[in-house]
Amino acid sequence: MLTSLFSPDSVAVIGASRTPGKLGYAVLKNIIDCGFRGSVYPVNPAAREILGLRCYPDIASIGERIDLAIIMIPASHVLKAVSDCAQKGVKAVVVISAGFRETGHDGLVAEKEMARIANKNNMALLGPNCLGLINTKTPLNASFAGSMPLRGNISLMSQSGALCTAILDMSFEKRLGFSSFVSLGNKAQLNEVDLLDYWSSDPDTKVALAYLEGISDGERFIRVARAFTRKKPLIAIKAGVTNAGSRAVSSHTGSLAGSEQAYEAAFKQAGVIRAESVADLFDMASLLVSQPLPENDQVAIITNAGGPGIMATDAIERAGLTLANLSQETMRRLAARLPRAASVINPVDVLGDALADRYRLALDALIEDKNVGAIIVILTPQIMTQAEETARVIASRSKNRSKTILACFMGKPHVEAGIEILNNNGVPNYTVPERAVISLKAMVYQKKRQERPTHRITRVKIPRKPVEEVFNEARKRGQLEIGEAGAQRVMKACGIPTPASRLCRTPEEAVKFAEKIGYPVVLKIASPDILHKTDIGGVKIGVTGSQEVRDSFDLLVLRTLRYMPDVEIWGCMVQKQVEGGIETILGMNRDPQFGPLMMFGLGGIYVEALKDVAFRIAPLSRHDARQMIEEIQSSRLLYGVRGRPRSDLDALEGAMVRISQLVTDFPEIVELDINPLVIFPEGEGVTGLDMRMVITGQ
Amino acid sequence: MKQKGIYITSTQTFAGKSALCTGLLRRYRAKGLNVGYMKPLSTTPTFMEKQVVDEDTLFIKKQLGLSDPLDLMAPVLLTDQKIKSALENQVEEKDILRIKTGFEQLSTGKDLVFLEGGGSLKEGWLLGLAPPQIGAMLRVMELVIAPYETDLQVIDDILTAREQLGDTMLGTVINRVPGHRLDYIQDLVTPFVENRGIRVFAVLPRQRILYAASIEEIQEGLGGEVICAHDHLNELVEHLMVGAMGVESALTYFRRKANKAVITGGDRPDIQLAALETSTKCLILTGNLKPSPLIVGKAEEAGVPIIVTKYDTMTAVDIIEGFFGKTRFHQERKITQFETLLNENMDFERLEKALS
Repeated sequence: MLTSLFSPDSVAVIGASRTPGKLGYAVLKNIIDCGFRGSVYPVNPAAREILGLRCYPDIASIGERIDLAIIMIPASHVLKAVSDCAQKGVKAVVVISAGFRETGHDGLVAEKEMARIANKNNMALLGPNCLGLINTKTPLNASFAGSMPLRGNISLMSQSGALCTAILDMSFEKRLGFSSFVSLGNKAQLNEVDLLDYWSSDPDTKVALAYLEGISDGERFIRVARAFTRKKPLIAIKAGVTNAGSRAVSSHTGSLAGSEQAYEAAFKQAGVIRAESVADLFDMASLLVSQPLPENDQVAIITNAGGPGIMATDAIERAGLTLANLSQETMRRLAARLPRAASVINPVDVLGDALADRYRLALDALIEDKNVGAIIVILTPQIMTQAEETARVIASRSKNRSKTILACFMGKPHVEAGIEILNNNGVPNYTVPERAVISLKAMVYQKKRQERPTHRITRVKIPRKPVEEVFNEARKRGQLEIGEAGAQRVMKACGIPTPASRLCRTPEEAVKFAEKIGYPVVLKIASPDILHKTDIGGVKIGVTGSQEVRDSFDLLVLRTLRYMPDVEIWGCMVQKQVEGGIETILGMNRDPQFGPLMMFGLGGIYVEALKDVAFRIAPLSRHDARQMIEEIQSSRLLYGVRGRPRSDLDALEGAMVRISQLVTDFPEIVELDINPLVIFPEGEGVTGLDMRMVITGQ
Repeated sequence: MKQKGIYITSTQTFAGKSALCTGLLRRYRAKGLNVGYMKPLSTTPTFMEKQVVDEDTLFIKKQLGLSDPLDLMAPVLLTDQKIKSALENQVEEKDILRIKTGFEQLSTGKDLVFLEGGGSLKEGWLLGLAPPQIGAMLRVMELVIAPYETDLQVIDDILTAREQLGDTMLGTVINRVPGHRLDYIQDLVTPFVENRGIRVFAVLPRQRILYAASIEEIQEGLGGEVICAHDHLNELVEHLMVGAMGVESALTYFRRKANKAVITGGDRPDIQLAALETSTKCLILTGNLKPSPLIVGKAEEAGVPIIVTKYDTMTAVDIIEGFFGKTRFHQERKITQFETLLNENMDFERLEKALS
């Protein structure tokens, strides 16, 4: 379907115009001027000929088969045109016209209708309200961008049409070549995931770039992106991550921006490289498209200036990369041929007076060193420095593609000619070492991503009936919040142990039960109206003896009523007190874009005050669960420090996987917290002490 | 049944009198009885359809398609003018006469007439038309609705009613008992009250939907403009939530309540979308700012009316909160819900026996 969009044999331009300056003229002219080799059919009932081409009154009157139609007529006529295209058997349409979702309900209805027509007729539809698309291989420029990009292997999609044109314009200076340019528009039918899916098997796309404000189908995005990034890098800018930014996204797209944590987690799981700015996007793309992935994260530096070398070293360490330990052989080789004052320890300093030959010597030695994954070549222009000659050396060594090579020629007029040579030979140059390192980090990320084992979810079975019963009972009472008693039944269904406990309606009942399970016990107020029991002093721990149980029961009821006089009180939950173990928190919050966002952290101050938590989108594989555990700063406590026993991580992982399955199986759960989930030493399992949930009404 | 009229009164206002009247009227008419309705004294007349009328009476007349003329069904309206003249000239015999003859005319040919009391047992003394006085005048027995607020209050209210009404008090219906107090009321309070010779015909559990306000009521109160989903104005709102936080907290907050109205600023598209993402019946935008067309489109699609009001959030909240629990009973959903509640909890046989 998308082949007709990117490489059509014939294009109809509905709304073609004879008047220069008009959209219908510009797009038609772009199609003709870009060297498109297929047939072009302008459609305009008021014209007989435009730009030397025969003009047709409507699409039906074109006698030939049409692969792609570009529509740019007033919004009120678009539906008819889309439907005519479907009738005619057109395979893909690009609706450039605006005036849909962004204008209100009538526009939204029209937009949905156009998607319906397209879907029904198996026709691809891009837009509406977009800038069009460009493919340099076909070649086809069905857009109103000012020019055609250089040919290359980067494909870009953008939810902002105007950003497309800006990136296009900036790409010339960087000599960055593109395969496809797509402006997504309102995404009535085709969205980012469809394009990603197509580019995944498109030989002309080596790197994909995306500017995103929102994602239409988060779950599918993760799945498709995960498959994509196994083969090729995907670099994305997600705009609208701050509070104010997300508000701006809301008014721009009419959809919730989704939480920052959810994007972070989804991108991590799908292996998406995240760029913070357009500058990052260029920096990373130019490296990923031109250089081979590094074998490891060990970075070597060659520099003719001490300062920039140290700055690069700092940047490498800060980015989580490693400064390479050069092999003895390399250092011997360098020491034998470089001046005595030169540094043969990484960063390799070839000294300020270095000519191109010293760079060649150092570069050759480092290329052969197995300890080195990537090389950053730094050059500052001294009077004797041979910028062009050095650039030529780097370019020739880069041709073998045995190591990732980046350049950092610092300066302006004295290094310009050298940079030109580097750009023309696929060696990206960065103005400062820090920017080189940011791009190199993306490179290492991609390498690790491709080595990551295939994501496999082992489905665990959660029995549906007991869970549904709890939900139905709550809904019957008009409640969306599931308190402890109900949540315990859900935990049981998930195979998460809970301490012996019972909801007791009277102090006498509480005493009877406490005597049965043995002291000490914990009493917690049971009320459907109170979820955060500790906030109102609704929990009493370490209760021993019948008199204390009776007193605690009355105290908790009294405190609760003082806090909320209208509250409904069911009684108190009496629970066997659990001793030992480490408290953790396992939670889930359903994100509007990506769905179940799981959260894990250590209980108490670690989550509350230090925000030491890890996020992932459910369902989790065991590998995901383990990664979440390892990701938190305080995870070392679980592995046993200072003579403390190692915690039962297997049981913890199991619980995480089962809860992730629960929230996947039951989309009506919108929030869930097991706090605390106590984890005991190895072999002794976990216990959920308290759990709460929020469900939807249906 | 020997008694032709039942006088339904209450221990406080907004107790559920109209609901009980409607429920009983529908029940006995369905059983083939010729039923009638009368509100001898209307304490809150309103101006509707170009006349001063009693709103409940007008509604019940329409609801049940009763053919009796409106001025017979609600013969005395407590207008400012009437209060003034009562203060100056004492009791108007004319009104007493109108009620008496009205009831005679209305009950002719009827099997059962439900008379609804004004606000509560307290209202009407000024005119000599308080419920105990009217009951005695028309020689009908009183059924008292006592809504639950606290254990003590409901017991004392019933005992006070008994003191005021004496032996003509038919019995009581205890209304709005929260789930966790049902056992207490049934097991302890009811036997106690019954021992004092007061029949308890029903203990009705509290149900949120019965105190809900319709979007239309909210809009009338706010005086704002509805900009979409006009065909959903009769839907009921059970909760009110204010959106003045970050978007993520908003989502968590909004998920806690179903069937709610959300008040937020017209300049908060993120909060508006978060509300639309959850079970929301109505969006109220303050500061007279219209939302973006993208959001209007979404709301229309979801059938969620957006009300744009000139008030600031605090004022709008004050106005709307005044509605909950004090709304009229005039929605089909509330009526059927209350009927179900009656059918499940009311001892009709005992009521009928008491009347004969």
